[in-house]
Amino acid sequence: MNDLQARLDQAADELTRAAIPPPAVAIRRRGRRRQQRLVAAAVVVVAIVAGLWGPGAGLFNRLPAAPSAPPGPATPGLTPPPVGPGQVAVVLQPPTHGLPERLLVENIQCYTHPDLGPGVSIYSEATIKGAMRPVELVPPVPGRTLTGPADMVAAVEVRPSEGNQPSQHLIIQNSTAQSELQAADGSRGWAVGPHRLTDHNGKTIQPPGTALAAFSWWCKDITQESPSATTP
Amino acid sequence: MGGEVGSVGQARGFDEFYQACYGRLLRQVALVTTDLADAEDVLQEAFARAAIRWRQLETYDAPEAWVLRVAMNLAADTTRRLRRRAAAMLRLGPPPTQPELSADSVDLIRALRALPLGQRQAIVLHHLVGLSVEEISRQLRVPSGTVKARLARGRTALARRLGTDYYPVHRETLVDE
Repeated sequence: MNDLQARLDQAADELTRAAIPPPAVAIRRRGRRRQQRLVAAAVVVVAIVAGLWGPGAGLFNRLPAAPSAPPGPATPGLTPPPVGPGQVAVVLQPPTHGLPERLLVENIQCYTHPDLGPGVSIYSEATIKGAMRPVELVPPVPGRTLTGPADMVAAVEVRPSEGNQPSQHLIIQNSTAQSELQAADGSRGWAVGPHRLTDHNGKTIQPPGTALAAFSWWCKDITQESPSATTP
Repeated sequence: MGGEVGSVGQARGFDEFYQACYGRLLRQVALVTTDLADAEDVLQEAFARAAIRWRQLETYDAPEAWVLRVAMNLAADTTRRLRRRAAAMLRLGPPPTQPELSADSVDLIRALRALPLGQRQAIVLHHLVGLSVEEISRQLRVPSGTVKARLARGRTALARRLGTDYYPVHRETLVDE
């Protein structure tokens, strides 16, 4: 007879006498919860590693964003900006190199070819977060809809000059709805941006969702206020 | 993580396994933790882990050994034990009074509690569960020499505290101690 075994048996009996085993279904449920916690933790770890937030976020900014939506169908009530000789109307599409839609784009410079007109190729840059980056300028087509909150519509009146000189740079002086484009040679234009739009009373309209309204208003403004816009 | 109890049949299989083993395993784990609430928590956690990989475990020869090993590992996790106690205190208030024990059992449990966990595990697995040194070695994943040493030291310490001599259950496995 092993005394220790007997004493351990007795102690185990006495120690666990009052124990009531939980139902098996409760144990299975506990297992499931544990599994869900593990999965959630794994997702968080993956998210952190992938840089959805946290220090890895910078990695994502270097990746190209999805291309902006193609021009959509005509929107009733919207008119494309009038374009006359020596004038080009452009829509600045959302940048395609991974910038957030609401990022303030400022200090846009447009480099134009002397042969200005609708559909002319324009290269432009903008100061985004303090760095000059290329942005897309797409001449609007009749009935084109704005494609998103990051769209900017710019009517650029440019007086053609010789060659592709710095005098052809157009700079948006501010980023209100009535951004004025001022070329180095004195030519002027207007731009509308969904970034910090203002209404007629100077009240800020926050994007997104206001771009279309701003677009309509801009069309009215450009036809009513800009003499050059109606130039034949 | 695809081994969770899925079908009704698997759930039934797990439930039967759980009901058959819970009481037996609880006795073993309780003597290692020397605390019923701790033992219950550790064992239920081990069973919960078994439930989510039951499809795989049910093919084992001895899924009970797997649960026991997990429970022993959990019992050894002192950090976890402290956290568990703190959580239980917050949740439930002071721990419930221990079941009434005979004077003999109180002495034994006090003596067990004074042992290092490894020695306690070896003593319980050998003297209560009846595992051989080799089996304990596999169960705890330590060399058999370590198991023998733990058993010898544990028995000596218990004997000193309880004022008696204890001998191995499987003497033949301990001849070279």
